[in-house]
Amino acid sequence: MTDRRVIEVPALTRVEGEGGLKVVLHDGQVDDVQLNIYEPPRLFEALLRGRPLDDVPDITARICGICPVAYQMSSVHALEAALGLRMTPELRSLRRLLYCGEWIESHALHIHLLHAPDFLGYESGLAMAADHPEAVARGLALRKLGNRLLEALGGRAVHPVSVAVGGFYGLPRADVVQALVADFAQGLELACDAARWVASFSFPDFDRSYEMVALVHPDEYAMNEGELRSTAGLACPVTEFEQRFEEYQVPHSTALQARRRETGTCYLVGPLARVALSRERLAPRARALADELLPEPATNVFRGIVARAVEVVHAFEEALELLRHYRPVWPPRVPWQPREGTGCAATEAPRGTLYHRYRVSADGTVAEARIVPPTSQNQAQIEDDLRAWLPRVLPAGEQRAALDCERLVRSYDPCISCAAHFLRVTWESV
Amino acid sequence: MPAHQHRAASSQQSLGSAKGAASAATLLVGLGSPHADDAVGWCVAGAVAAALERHTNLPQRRALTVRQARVPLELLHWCGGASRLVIVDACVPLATDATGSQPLPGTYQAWRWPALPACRLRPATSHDLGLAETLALGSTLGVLPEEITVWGVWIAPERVLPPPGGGNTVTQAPSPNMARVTEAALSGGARFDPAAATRSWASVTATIDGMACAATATGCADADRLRAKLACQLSPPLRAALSALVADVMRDLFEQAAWVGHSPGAPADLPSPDLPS
Repeated sequence: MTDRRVIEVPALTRVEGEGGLKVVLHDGQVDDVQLNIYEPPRLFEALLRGRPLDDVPDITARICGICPVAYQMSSVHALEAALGLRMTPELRSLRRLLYCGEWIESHALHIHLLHAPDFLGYESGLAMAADHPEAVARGLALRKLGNRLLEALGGRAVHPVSVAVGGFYGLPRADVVQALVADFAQGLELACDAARWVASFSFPDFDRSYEMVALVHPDEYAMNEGELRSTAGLACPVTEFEQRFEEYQVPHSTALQARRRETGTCYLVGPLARVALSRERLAPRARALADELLPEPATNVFRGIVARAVEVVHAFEEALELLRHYRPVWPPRVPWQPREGTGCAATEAPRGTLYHRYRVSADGTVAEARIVPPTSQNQAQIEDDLRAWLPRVLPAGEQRAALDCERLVRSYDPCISCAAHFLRVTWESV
Repeated sequence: MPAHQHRAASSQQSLGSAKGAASAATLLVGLGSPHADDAVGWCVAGAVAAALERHTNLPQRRALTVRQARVPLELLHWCGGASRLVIVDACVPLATDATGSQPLPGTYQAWRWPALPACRLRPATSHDLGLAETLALGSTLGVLPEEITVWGVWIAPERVLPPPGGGNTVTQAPSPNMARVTEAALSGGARFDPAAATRSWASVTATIDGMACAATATGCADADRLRAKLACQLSPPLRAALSALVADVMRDLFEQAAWVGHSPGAPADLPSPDLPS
């Protein structure tokens, strides 16, 4: 007689969105691991059809309240590719500046309030605040600075409204932006403190052999554009994304999972992958901290919090440089005319590579849309990690193992709301 | 230095560095969004601010900061220097009580924190802390004023978002081109007609919200008019209650002994709120 047991975490805490975890044990051995994403499907790709193409950045921004800029950036770049538009260097820089704001607010929240409690033994950021008030206050201050940058450049912190196909609808006056410089200089110091703080945590020994995937740009730490690269040797333009990666459905998730098309294997996107593939392009202080606090090869997913903190430092350095030289660009948009075409783009969202593809009609409406968010891409890798992690944590008992599994999932900073995507309905006649 | 004082000092050092920290004795925060009855907190804050703006000789206005917040965490950045915090927020009943009744939409009540109503009061989401969690966090960090009042306004659960036909769902078609409307708002008030825009924006309230904020950020003078229009989306019970609610909140603000430079006055002395028509 065999012993079949199930460990269930019905609702993962301290992750964005709603998901659960199910582990099936057979005679004490791990039989199945399922990251259950049960948020309802969002159907964004379908509702975009027929809409004016310049509505797309505003609509796709609603996919996520934490990383709306990422959706705006990937969508406008893809649409501009379809329209044959080229950005001016000045507008391109301002888009990077906006992205810095999002990286800062998203990473600061996850590091300080969602993830750090795992390493310090607290059930929540609130519980942690009693013993580590300075750290929590620092996290809130960093997040606020990211939000202020979004407000200045994007009109507001959540779902900014200034991003347009071709550039921006409007840009702030120079004095509004210059007023941020002094606070961002202080923020950079806080960010460096945060990086040292998280690097001092005790990390489980869990180095694995990953294929890490991220955009790589020859001249900069990739945010808005680059070539797709992986630690396994992949190097291709973003236009080949769908030839190199495929999404597939699993019964237990409303989010599609993804794998490498050539090998059928899972892969990892996000800060750890970006640092692995673009370490030498980090800004000076971020680079120095990365070398000191996250030496190569950084293949322990629990250390993703250090990579995230290094990226906050980078975002402050880059933002400061751009803020100091900010001048409103006029006109703020490159003019364009509707035309039939297809375009794709990928940018680096806080959680990893975010791919968009659009086919647009001659009348300026969207004929087809495709969105592949980073959490979808990481799902299969998370399940693979859990299979390797469970035998190590099961001896401590199932209750403890469930908590340890949650910790591993949180290391990915999954955004389940972004990933909830598609539901296949099977009709059965009786 | 006692532990709690040290904690407050160190936390304020980080949080207080944010621009816009209030230096007034009282901080009034309307919490919510421009969507349906969730806008009631913003409406009250806007009405109080407008009333004080029209009475420039009132000494009290120097001691009051009025803000509108979308997420509770914002509060923690604004409390520096404030001795009192007053929050106005919509709340949704959790369920019918033992008697099978629920508070009627439009009724309201004030709680002295840490007491809070049993309701969905700006609940915690995976993206942010709820009001109760935020206040608890602020207390732990030692950054809250000593006195906190929460005005909760009961709304019906279905009024958290606008109803079909007047909602913020982007699935309804046909819709105006959001991009053009946004551009119009950002380009300045002269070309921007909120009345016409509101008629055509039935399906894109979310963008209207964005425009209001963007208009503020870019100095568009029509932001206030736009917000007033948005207040008109309140359901009839909320609209009926708004005038009395604003008067009660102002009475609460003005009659506080802690009020700087002001002796408590009779309600008749208070400026009348400027409510959207």
